[in-house]
Amino acid sequence: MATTINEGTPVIPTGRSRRAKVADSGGRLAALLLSPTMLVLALVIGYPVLAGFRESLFTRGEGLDADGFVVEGERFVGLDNYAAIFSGDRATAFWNAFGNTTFFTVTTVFLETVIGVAMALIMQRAFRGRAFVRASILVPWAIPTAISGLLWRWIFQADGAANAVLGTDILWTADGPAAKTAVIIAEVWKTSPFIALLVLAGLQMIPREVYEAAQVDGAGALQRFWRITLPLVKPALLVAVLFRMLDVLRMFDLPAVLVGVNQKSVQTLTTISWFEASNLRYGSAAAYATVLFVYIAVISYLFVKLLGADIIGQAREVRKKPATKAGAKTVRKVAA
Amino acid sequence: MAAIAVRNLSKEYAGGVRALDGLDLEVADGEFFALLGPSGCGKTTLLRTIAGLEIPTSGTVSLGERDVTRLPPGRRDVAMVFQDYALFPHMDVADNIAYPLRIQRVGRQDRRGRAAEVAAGLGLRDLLARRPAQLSGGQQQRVALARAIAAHPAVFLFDEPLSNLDARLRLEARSFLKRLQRDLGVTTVFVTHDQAEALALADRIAVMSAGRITQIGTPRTVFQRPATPFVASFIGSTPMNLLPAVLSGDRLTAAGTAFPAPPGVSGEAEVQYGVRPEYLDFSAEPLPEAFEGEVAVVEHLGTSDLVTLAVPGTPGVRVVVPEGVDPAPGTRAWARPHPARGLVYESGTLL
Repeated sequence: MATTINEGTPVIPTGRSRRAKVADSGGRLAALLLSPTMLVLALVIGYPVLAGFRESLFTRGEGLDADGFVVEGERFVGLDNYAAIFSGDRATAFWNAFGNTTFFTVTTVFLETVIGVAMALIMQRAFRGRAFVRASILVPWAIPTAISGLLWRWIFQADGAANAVLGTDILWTADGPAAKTAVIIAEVWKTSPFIALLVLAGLQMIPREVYEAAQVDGAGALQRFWRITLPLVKPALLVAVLFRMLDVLRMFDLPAVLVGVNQKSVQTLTTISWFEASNLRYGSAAAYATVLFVYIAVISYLFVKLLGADIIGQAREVRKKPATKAGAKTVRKVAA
Repeated sequence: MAAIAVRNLSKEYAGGVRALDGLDLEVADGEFFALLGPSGCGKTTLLRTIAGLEIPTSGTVSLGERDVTRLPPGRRDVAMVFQDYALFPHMDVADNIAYPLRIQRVGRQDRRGRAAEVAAGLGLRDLLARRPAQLSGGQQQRVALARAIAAHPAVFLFDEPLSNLDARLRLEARSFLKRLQRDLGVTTVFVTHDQAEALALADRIAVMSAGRITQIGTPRTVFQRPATPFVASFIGSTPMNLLPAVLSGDRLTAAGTAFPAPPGVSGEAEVQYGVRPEYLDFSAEPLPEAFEGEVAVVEHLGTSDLVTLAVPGTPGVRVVVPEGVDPAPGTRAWARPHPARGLVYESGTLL
């Protein structure tokens, strides 16, 4: 023991400082090499976010002066725009849009996940005409949203296909719960293929032998799905669901084309923000956008934290290994 | 424990590929049985058909008294170790081993206990909480074995169980596997393309080619008296010399050299003469009744050298030379076959 200490102590500090120096210069070089990317990101992401936030603290062109003229230029109003959103004259509209956005997110993502996984399982099967099935499943994803919105509006019009098939006289694209349903149906139709595609990629990473091993062990089809397929496809599925959630939270074009903006039942945070902006209430529009931004950020953070969606998993894995090694070394040193 | 009986088994894939062609096979209860053959000979298809992962086009498979031809794999009471081990990457070692028990609805406590017991027997005690990705190839192989053992099957099926291990580990795993199988006494069928593995492990070997069994026998029989030139060339770590020869009376003539035919062989025919490189005497001095040629290639095998003599009228005669002789390439040398060790094939069958 004594000899270990005698030999060990003089070596450790030099070794450590040298390593620290290497890491330091490496870090500086890395920062230098990354700086162009950082600059571009700051310009295209950082600046708009900050500018949007700044805009939400101002109002312009809204007040009249004592002579009855429209006030030119912007006026700082602090958090007035936010106050108006949360509890002021726009609170009802905001909470309605917020509720709609959340409702659409929960329902469409749930339905898309179930349908998308089912589609992926079908596409993975080897059968005659598989290429055709795969292609036809992916078609809705390839159509521009505005076009599919028009398509569904045609289906959902008063004397359209939907009513003819169902034998009903529902005004799908007017307002109320029917309009919500129409938006959900169109959205699920359009974006299930996205989940299906990502899940299919995940499924194809699972070796066939793993299924066969479970089969030899006596696992039935359902057990294989719940115990083997789903856990193994989980990383891909979580990424797909996260992306879809972020998309639906920002949903604009489908309700706008299918039903129209400023329709209470399908008003989302994006359409309300757009509506404000097109009425030249930029401050209020920016406030809506900022609230949506924060909402999306919180949801994705919770999603990644709670469900462990491994968006940047491999990078973390690589970083973890040297860390544990260093940790083990410290332990050993302490023991010595 | 159960014997395996395969009757008139054929498997034809879509597209007309005939992987198994009217095959019959009996594996005795508790036997360690090898299916050996080059790739594409149907050995893996046969194993998978016994497992139930492939449905035969015709024929039957019985385990013990039961005809299991139409039973799904999970109800055949077999356990399989796959070539890539097929461990479940999202489960730790304990859960992997206990998976068959979970399917059999064994309680959680009992399951973990039995998994730990089996794992301890295979030296996996300290690895129970690891994921497969954190294990070496040898450890993964043992986990796969442990999963098979924990299932308490009537039959083990191993698909190239050692092929993913490096050479040294493979030798260790081979001894380990042989001892394990003897201790458990469970009927075991394993597939391999490695003749050394089959010779080392199996109680009996079936050599397959083109969907049929060419020869079944103990490792000793298959090595000493291969039934066809195909088996002869496939078995043995140094390939057998197969030379065109003429049999007349009880003497053979090959590559211009006449020598006595093996005991009990006589007749008048065009034949193929086979002799293993180990059963030729090498000499740098002229020998009677020996092949003469120039030393073309010298390959070092460790305790011996494999020397190829360029003998006119042959593709080359290979001789194993003990260490210390060190023949120089380009010199003349003689190789005399041991008369009793030669094999004579007439139109593909052993005389």
